[in-house]
Amino acid sequence: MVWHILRKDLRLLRIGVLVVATIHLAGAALRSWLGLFPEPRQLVIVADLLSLLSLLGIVVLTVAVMHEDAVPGVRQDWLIRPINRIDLVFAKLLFVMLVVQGPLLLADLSQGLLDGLTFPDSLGAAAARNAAVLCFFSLPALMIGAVTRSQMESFAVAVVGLIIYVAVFLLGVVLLLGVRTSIGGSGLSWMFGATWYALALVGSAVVVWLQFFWRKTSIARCLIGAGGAAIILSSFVPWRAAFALQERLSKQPSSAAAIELAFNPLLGPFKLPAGSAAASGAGLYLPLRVTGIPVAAVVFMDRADLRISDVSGRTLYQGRTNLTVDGVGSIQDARLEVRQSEPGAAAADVHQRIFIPASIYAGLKDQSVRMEIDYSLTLLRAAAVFSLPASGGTVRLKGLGWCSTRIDDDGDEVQLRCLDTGRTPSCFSAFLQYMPGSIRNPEAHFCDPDYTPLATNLWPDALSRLGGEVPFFDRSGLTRYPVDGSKLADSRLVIKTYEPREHFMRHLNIPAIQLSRFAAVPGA
Amino acid sequence: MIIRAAKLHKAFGGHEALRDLSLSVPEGSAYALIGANGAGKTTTIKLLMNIIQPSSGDATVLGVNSRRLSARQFEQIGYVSENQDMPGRLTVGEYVDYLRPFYKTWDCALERALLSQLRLPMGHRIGDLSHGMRLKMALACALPFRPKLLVLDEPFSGLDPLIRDEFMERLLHQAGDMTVFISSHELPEIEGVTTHVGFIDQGTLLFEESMAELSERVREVRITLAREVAMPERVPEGWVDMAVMGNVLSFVDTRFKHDRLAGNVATLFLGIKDIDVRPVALRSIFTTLARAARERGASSWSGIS
Repeated sequence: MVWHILRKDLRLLRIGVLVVATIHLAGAALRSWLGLFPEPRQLVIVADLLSLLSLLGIVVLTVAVMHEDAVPGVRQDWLIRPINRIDLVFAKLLFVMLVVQGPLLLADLSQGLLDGLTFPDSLGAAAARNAAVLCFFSLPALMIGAVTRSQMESFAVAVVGLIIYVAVFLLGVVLLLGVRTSIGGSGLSWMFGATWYALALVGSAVVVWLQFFWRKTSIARCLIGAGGAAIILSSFVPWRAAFALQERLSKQPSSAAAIELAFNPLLGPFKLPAGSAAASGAGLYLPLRVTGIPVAAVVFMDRADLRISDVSGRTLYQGRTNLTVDGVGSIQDARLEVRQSEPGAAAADVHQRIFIPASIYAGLKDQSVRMEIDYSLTLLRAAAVFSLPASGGTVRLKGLGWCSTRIDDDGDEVQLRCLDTGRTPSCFSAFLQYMPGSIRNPEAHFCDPDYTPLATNLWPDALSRLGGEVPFFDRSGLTRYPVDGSKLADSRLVIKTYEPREHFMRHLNIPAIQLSRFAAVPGA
Repeated sequence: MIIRAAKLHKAFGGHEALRDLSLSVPEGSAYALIGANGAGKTTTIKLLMNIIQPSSGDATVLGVNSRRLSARQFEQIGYVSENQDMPGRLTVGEYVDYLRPFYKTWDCALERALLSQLRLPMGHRIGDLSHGMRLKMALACALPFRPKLLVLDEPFSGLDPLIRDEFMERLLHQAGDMTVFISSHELPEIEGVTTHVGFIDQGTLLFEESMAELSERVREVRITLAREVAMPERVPEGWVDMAVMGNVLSFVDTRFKHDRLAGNVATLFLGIKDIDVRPVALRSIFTTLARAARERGASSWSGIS
């Protein structure tokens, strides 16, 4: 009877199914047509809108199919019919998998093929995205559909959920109490998604069982609420615990064993680049010496927790180095990436920017205080090197997919775009090399680590993208590039990708430091 | 018994919809659960059909605990309710086509006959049908599989007399050996078909018995005396709805037995000119008993049942 019920639902929802399938296919066709350098901007917005509508359509259809045989209520005809509950559940699940998600799979597969990717790769990427969409959108929608009677009721539940989320989580916890999410914005943020997936899988199984076999709507609704709260709370998981898990997932344990961080006062204060604005009084630049970095490797700071105490050990300030409770700071500005300054060098000297609330800094800057920092670090090692013509080259690179370069509209940068299936490297560097000789420009680094073990792409489609801008001309005249516009025709863009090898922690203890000594000073 | 309920209790929040309701429906009977609006008839049926769960107590339907009713039992149960939600966007024909495979005993010839006799528009969407048409549609979907038990929950509510007659005619025609359990407060319509009756008031089943016994024990009595009479201070148990008009005393005897009535009348009154005893219609029995119950309070209901 599973197919019989499914056919009935299809008959009832056929128009919606057709509309949503058309949106999937139109979106895929448009993205494929836009290519590696999507332009014009208006069409990119349309493509994004279609992606959004496509996911929204999946949610609406999933809720709708559940409402065709709504569980809550006492007036539904199916309740007194000899309809096997297991058949009904399977019919609904099959409808979601085949009718709701099937067209998305076809659209994603078609897009991959149209973009020149192989059938197995395209199918793999489409299937992975399908699984992600199932967990992220369809199963939660299925749960909502199982505990509500109408689209209006579902919409009300979604709105109430959003209001609670904004009121309690964003306004209450984040803004008023100043509590920051622990893993958000870091390479560990995949744990939030993984929690969502796990809870969606377990939650939907429990809710469907409760509803279809016991019709315990109140309990099921409470469970959904608890699951939602658990997902939100997962972004507040203690950093130490989350990073400990990430450490256990290291691909090459002990590869960072030799890496050490030390306070290096001899490096002196940080000199701001000439012409830049005066440094904020709330920040300092801590001089560090990092030793033991392997060849062709990068040490990336995922997070650093700072504790400042007085001579008696009393804590005067405690917080993250990149963001403060009063909102001062920036994840981007406080990033720390350490590379060997030159091949074979024994150590790398860097300044770590640390944000401290202005009032705290004003009170402490001239005192001698103790500073302790717990670093959560990741060692990334070069994984592969690729090259392609600096301009106008479109080549298929195994490991990066279809890549293309072009000169930007301003005529001062080479734009790189790659399109692939699966997971693209989240850390890479690129430089221009003039091929007749060995002239090359400085490396441009692009690192936004994502340590997810899941090779899925949810938005805007099933494909993964990599891109960056590599300068070859500075209009201000401050920087001169050896490989400039005149040499581009004979130059290649060399790309080095990095893969995370080990996640590790280090503790830095500075018994006595005067903060004001390490404020930035104006450059020459 | 095809249905047996024991001490069913259902509370919605603080409101007690059913209070220790027990009833027994013999196989092959046409059992009418009668009571005013809000008495608990629909709640009883929804509990029996496992649509809602009781707070306490239990029931068996077709020999199975009502909380464990499954597809196997529902293959033998026809159900028609005034507020039954059917898929409004399917046409009548599509819905019948959808239901057919779920019933092993579905009789296609009977289905065709019913659809034709009830003049249901096969191509119309269910959502576009009138209330009466929807009820006829529900009946047409409840009979073709020749259910062992037909449950009708207020099937006449909001129906015009013509459709009521048509509905009952079809029902009687198809009833055969099936047991019919019907809840209604439209008593004239069910009087002719009912073999057993249960009277529910404020969630309590006040009595249940066969129609034959009920109509045998309830009589309207009219006594004409030689002179004007005053309302007696004490009357025998079972006399309700008493009225005096000049020399005529009337009441309903809910425990009628000819000899006992004659004896009681002779003890209480002198100069009896005439005693007229008449059977009472179900509607009058219901209204009389309901009025008496409310006047006396539930605690003294035993005096008239």
